[in-house]
Amino acid sequence: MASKAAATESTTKLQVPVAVIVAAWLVPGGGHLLQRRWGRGILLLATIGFLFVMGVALGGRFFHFNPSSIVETLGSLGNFCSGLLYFGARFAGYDPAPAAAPAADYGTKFLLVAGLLNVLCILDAYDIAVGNKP
Amino acid sequence: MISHFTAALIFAAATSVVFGITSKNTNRERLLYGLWVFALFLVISLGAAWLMYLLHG
Repeated sequence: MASKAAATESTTKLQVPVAVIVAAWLVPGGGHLLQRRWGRGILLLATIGFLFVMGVALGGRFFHFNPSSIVETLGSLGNFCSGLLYFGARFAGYDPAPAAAPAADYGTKFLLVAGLLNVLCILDAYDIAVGNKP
Repeated sequence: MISHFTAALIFAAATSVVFGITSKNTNRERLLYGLWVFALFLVISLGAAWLMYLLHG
């Protein structure tokens, strides 16, 4: 009986909070908002959203998946992590060609960093969901 | 046209906020850590800029 209870508890602990992870990926801070961490969620959404919008405003480009180029491939994964911001921009037809202007280069970095910072948000939301963080 | 320094400031501010929120457990710790990271970004950026300027001659 005790071992059955322990097994059940172990199974419960191993459950992956899929909804939280997906929400955190799709909307920066979404995982926090879903868990009623309103302040943190809104601040993360505003910060990452601002960085992404700045990237677009500066004419930054998205990386494209290309197995022959490790930089392009990793960059595309970074962009992909921005979730709906990325899909929304692509859906709206935003996909400028590489430009030599420094501002566009800053924009490209902003778009990439927005995705990478969202990875941290996803991990943080996961930690909250499994009880590792308040 | 945005300057390199302004771009660095925007990057540092955004990164500091996210680092602060995701790294610490209390609001006070988050605020202090965010400010600390922002200050480090700023100091290291300016230090590296001066170093490159001086090395370049």
